[in-house]
Amino acid sequence: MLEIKDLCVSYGEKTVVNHFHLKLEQGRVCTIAGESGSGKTTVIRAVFGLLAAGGRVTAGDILFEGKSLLSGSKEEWGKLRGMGMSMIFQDTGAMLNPIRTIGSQFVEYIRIHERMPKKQAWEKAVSMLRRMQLPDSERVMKSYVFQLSGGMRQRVGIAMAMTFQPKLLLADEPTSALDTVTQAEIVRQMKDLRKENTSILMVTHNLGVAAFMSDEIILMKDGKITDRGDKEHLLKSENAYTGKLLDAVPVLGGKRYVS
Amino acid sequence: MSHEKEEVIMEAKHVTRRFLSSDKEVFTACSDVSLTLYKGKTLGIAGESGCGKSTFLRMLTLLDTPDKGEILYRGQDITKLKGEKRRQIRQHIQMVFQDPSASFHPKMKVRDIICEPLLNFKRISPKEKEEAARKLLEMVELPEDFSGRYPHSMSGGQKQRVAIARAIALEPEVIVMDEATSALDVSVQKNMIELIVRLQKEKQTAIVFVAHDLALVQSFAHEIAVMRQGEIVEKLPAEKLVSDAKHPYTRMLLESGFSLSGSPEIVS
Repeated sequence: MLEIKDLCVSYGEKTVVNHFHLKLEQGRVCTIAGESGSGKTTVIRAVFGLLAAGGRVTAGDILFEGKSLLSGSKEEWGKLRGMGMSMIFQDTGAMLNPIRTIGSQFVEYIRIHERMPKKQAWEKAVSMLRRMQLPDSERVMKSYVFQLSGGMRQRVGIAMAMTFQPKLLLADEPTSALDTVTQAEIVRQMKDLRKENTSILMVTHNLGVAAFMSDEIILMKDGKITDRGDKEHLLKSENAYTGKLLDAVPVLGGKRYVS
Repeated sequence: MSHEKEEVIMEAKHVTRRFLSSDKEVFTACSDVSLTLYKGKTLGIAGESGCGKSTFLRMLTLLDTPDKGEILYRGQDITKLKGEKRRQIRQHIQMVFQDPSASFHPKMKVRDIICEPLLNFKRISPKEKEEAARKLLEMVELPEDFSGRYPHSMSGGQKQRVAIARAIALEPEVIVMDEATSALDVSVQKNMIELIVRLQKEKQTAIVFVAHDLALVQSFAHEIAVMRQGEIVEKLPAEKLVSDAKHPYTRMLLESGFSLSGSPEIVS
């Protein structure tokens, strides 16, 4: 349902993504992992049509359900985002307006995409928050961003992204700002989304999270794909960069630097 | 781990810190925390967001004052010190923060950033600045010509090395690191840990390292304290963390991490 063919993206003169290709089936999870500056975020920003200023696709194509996304008009994008695909950012708090309540923004978001009375939109929002296991969801609706913890904010982000049951969910480091306990809960909830047949394209530098969630993991370095495959493949991979990355992940009861 | 032969540098005794929240309720960020730092050893503190780790560090570094309890530096209670005496203590306790771009002045060059503490405590004269900066950069494995750069032109890992250079400039006895590697990639994090371990061996510094990733903390700390809701729930030698941890909360933290080979139990 999502196909990226030979994608190249440049910022000015600098090529940041080099011949990236990917096929994602319905209900599958693919993770792009790599270090800062490897171009992983640029890939999903290109899919969502949100390249930062100066960025442009120089070669290749992105097909969503067989249709190229690169030629989409503003109206087509407006329909697609939210309904067809949606995105979760590293910090939902930074995405939302700090001086408006969660509820007023959530209701506005719903009513942009679907004609319905405010009261009904409010109820829909509350039920979405409840599904993300946010306790006291009426109170969350009346809160401002700063009143919520990091984990709660991310749950609000997922609830908003999942409102219209999009076919594709893009997630840019959705758990990197969270501590390990909260991270485990959010990851579990994202994994549950597969039951609703949502495909997920995620970017993370946490290889443990990638291994737990994904059908396929793509490792990137300097804009190029260095290795790809499932968890077992990566653990056995003979690629030098893959080995270096795996070795750097701290493991409980693993290597110790002091005695 | 037995502490008999080790030299005590700092000691927090029954430290408590309370805050008044907006609805007049008392919130206890640190409750009866007692921890000891030994020469040349690393104490790791782990816990979830909001468990009081950072509040405790702020008191250790004299950025905040406890409501109860005392903090001893070489036997002297530093929480009661004022003015110049308090300032003089600061040169023995330095810190490295999570986000170096937020802790550096964006308009200062690297040489000014790392030599500022030396100049403030009159350890060097302004003429010796260039030489001092060169030595410090060498210690953290950065090229010499970095001394003329501004923070924005460096990567996260390089900035964090500059932060460490500044922290070791005064040759402190204690370095406090608050999630110092959380913003970095795993491979950069690994280099950073190797650097910290090497510097500690050379200088015999006592380090307090706070992080929420238990696997990371246990990879290079000597002792680990687990904190929850302002209290230390368990304290144990790092090498025995996995085998000996008893408290249910520590076990839960241990099981919440994602590793490549296994998945956390609380997920399944």
